[in-house]
Amino acid sequence: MSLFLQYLAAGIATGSTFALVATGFVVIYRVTGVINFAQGVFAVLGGFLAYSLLHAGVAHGLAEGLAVAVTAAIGLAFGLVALGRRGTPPLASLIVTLGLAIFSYAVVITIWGDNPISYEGLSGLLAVGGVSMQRQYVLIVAAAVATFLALALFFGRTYLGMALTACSSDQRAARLMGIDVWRMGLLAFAVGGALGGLAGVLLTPLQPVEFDSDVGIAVNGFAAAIFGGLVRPATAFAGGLVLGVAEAMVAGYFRSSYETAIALAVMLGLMLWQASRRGPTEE
Amino acid sequence: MRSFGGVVAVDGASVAVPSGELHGLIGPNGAGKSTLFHLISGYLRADRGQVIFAGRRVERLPPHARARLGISIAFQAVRLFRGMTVLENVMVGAHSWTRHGLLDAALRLPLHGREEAEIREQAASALERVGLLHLAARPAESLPLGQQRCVQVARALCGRPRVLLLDEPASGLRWAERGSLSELLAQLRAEGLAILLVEHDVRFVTGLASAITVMDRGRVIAAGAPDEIRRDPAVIAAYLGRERASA
Repeated sequence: MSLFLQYLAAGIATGSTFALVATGFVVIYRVTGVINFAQGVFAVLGGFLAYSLLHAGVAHGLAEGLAVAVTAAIGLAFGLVALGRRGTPPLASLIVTLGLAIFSYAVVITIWGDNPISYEGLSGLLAVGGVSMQRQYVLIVAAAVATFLALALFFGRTYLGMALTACSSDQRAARLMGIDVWRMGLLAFAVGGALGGLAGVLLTPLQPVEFDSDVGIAVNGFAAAIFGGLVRPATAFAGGLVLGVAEAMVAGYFRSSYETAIALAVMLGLMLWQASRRGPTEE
Repeated sequence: MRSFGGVVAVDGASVAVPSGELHGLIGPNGAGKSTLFHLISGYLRADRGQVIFAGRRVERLPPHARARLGISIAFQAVRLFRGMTVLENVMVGAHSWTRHGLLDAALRLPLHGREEAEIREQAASALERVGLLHLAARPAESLPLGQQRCVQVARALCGRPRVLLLDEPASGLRWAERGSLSELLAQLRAEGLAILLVEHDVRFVTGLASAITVMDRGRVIAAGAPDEIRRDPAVIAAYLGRERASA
């Protein structure tokens, strides 16, 4: 039983990072209509940046925060390249994000080499109700939930958030209200970059990252995002948790080499069930 | 001029709306009214021709830039933002005059808060003008279609327009609601707004408009004061006659 609870705790922790990546997919897709294939890159860059800053002697917390700020800026830069001129079709932008992801491999290898890196997160164990779990897990879950709530407040309560919501509801109408949809798209990319970066700095202490770790991270995040039809952040978040737990269970009780495949199969099953219950979705 | 594929939707049509005037644009279905309308808003781009606003050529400007100059629009097909309340929808209209950009929002929070209060106030007063303030907190998509049209008018007003483009705002409204809408339009006109009203209901337009343009098959077939239009044989043949025959 306690083994089960430990797998559950680990699953919820990694699932939270998937959820962050998934939310990044959703934010960018909703506002721009672009599926950002470079979403996993933000996590990898976040991990590497935090690693370098920590090695340069920057304190924990500050290093991670700076890394997230830089990935937000990188997200903005990716947005500038991917969105291109006003009126670039989303499919063209999608291909550009794929190119940016591959380009980033070269950058990472040039700067950091091709070895996996990791650093120590919060050390020590925390005992809750007889189950001891790593404090890093608790940190990850708390950070993910806090971020998600902050985003919900931002989108639901602030004027800028309303503009972003308007863009995702009806871009052309939003444009006619005087909203510069292109700039809102850049903002969405910056938010997506920060979310990916945050996932990366939280995940790296648990799983070493290397230049092409973005694929695994993005596949999980994307599966979670698809779970919410790419437009519903709360469902995407839940999807991330489901995936994380399923993978931890498979790795714990079965074989870790099958974790992603089986977790994705679970996801597919859930989506089929969801679709049969609701009928075709309109969004 | 604008064509879709090989179909010419609008050709050689010209409309001028001075401020303080309500200009009616009528014509049978498929006459090109909405196309002309969207060439002005920037929703569609003209293949040829000019859009002049306050002495300035704007036909190359993107729609959001035209909105910022003071061109506000209410669509024929209702397009409110889903997942937002009525008030929030109207608040979005204020984007055409708010200054704050991304950095402002992030760095100048106090000013941002003050401006947001101003926007909220403006949106509430726009809703009051269309008589829907009591529904401000309702989800926009829960309203009946007629009221959603009125919310669109409020959203357009919240943009502090100099030109108001209304595409069949009265359709789907009950009789009393039509009466109050036409009163509101008369008021706005008196306040110096230029209004271009696309309408199917000829009686609704002729009561309000100081000038009317009649379109048919992408061309202007008549233009002038409402009384002249009513008597114009070409108009009667193309439009009024058809309506009379069906009435």
